[in-house]
Amino acid sequence: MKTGRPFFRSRPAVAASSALIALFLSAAVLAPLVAPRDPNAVDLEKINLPPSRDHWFGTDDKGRDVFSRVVYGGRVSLSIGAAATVLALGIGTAVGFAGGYFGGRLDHLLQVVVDITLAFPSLLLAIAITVVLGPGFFTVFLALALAGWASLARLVRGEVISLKQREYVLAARSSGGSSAVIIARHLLPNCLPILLVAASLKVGGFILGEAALSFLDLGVRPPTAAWGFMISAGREYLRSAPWMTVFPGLALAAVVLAFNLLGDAVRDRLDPKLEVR
Amino acid sequence: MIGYVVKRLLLAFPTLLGVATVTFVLSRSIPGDPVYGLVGEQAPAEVIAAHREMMGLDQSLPRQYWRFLAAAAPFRRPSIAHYRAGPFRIPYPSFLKMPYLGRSYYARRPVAEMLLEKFPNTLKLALAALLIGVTAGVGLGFLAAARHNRAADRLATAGAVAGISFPVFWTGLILVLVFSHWLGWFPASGMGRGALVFLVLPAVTLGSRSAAFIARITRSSLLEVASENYVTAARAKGLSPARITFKHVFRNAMVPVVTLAGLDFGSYLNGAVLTETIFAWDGIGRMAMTAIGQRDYPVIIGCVLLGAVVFVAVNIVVDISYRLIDPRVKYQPREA
Repeated sequence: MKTGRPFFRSRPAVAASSALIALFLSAAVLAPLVAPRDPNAVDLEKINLPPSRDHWFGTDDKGRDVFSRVVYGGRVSLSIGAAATVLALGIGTAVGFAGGYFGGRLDHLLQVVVDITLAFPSLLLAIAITVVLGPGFFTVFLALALAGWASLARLVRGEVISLKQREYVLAARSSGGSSAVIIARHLLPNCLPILLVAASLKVGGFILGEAALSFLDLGVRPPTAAWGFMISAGREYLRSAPWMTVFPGLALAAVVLAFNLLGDAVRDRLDPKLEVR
Repeated sequence: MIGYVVKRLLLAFPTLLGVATVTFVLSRSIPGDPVYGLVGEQAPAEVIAAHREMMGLDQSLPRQYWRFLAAAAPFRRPSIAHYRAGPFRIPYPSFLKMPYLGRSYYARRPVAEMLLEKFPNTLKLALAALLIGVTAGVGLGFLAAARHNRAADRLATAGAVAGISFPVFWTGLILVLVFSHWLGWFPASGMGRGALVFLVLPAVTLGSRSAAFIARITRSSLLEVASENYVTAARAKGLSPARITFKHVFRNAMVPVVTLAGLDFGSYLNGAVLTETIFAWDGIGRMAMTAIGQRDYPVIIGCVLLGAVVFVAVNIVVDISYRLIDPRVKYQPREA
């Protein structure tokens, strides 16, 4: 990293988005303490109540407290977003390294696989995988990662190819360093910045993907609170109880916005030319 | 140039073959027996056996794969067909056919036929969304670049990041709430026999995300081009600022914008699934959603395949047009 003003003070947006992410993370981890009520407690005497002091975000069509459900929904979104990012990074890094470092036929083959994966609209591919595997927590993150790893593989491959030409790698190789040592000691650490940027920009995308899948009723199973599912449940009551739709959506947008701002800032700092979508 | 086009088209073949292979794998991994899906579990054994044979499911997997490819490809062995013009029959060689992608469990119709029927509606929505995305995106990006580092720039840039972060389906619902339920300006859903008012909200919903992406790239591209030497030279030559802006900066800055707009267009089927569901727009996306609800697997798989084929096709068009604008460009695939 370049020297200069500390990263967090360099831009108010970075500080704000980090704070927001920290807030959502702690709310998700401490959900039982933060949520005033049981997110799945049905109370048919209190359905579709507008926001009030008792129910900050109102209640839904089954009388459940929307605020508590939003807090618990953060668990689903953040954990699936994180898990999908880790898996996609894992696959992407492995494929990118295999192709970029060893080159030749293997690289060609892997490139073809990457091209084919990229040819599918990512949400549609994730939908198809979910449909085949049957919905659920595990399926959702697997589907998102399988539909989203390819751009990371391409990114890593490019980076590895350029790093491979550096003098210190040539020096390590000519002094008898094995491929494993070169990859682990020289290439991987130098790929970390780019991976960091890619990861922070991907998390938001995966969280949106998870929300889209659960909006389409392909996500985690109800009654588990997931933001996308809450938004789709609120559709029917859009006119009479808009808070059912508005608040989970705001939470979702806030988290994704925070990750995108942070990702943008990290990218600008490390490599302004990088485009990850 | 022609050589490049041919090469680019040939390069699409392995990708399409791979796409078809993935589709085949998906279609053979669907839960349940496809024959039951078509005729029901209570059907007599001989009906089930007949369907299994008809669908080729009694054959080996490689053979099934081959038959799948042959059926899904739009080509067939060339033969002579006849075109009827009044009393005349004009013979012509024919090698194209309707791809066969299986039959819907519910509608009992060939999937390809259903896709072809709904495609114009999705295309209409996508074109409208593209128009909105490009107009709003370029406008905002231009405004931001012209007011670089001032309040308007900050506002537009922040708006663009926000636009990228909002989930499409949520934006759509909020638009319905505000402009349909509260203000009553636009209908909340349906297609209204093609009346334009019905198109507005779905198109804005689908186009908002690309507007945000396009605004970002327009801004950065304009700023980059504005700092080029030839712009300084034009200024030194004494050209008017308006002339420099539109003749020198704007035109050159639009190259990446065109690319991005094209690629976004290719991935609209992603957003169409969500947008069409919200607005009851009778296109491919809604068909896919209905199919998911009914577990109508051949239709789901067909929609995924169509999405990939459209994306590959749009990519080719973008690559070729990009090359037309800027001959230095080399082939480099991108993602949805």
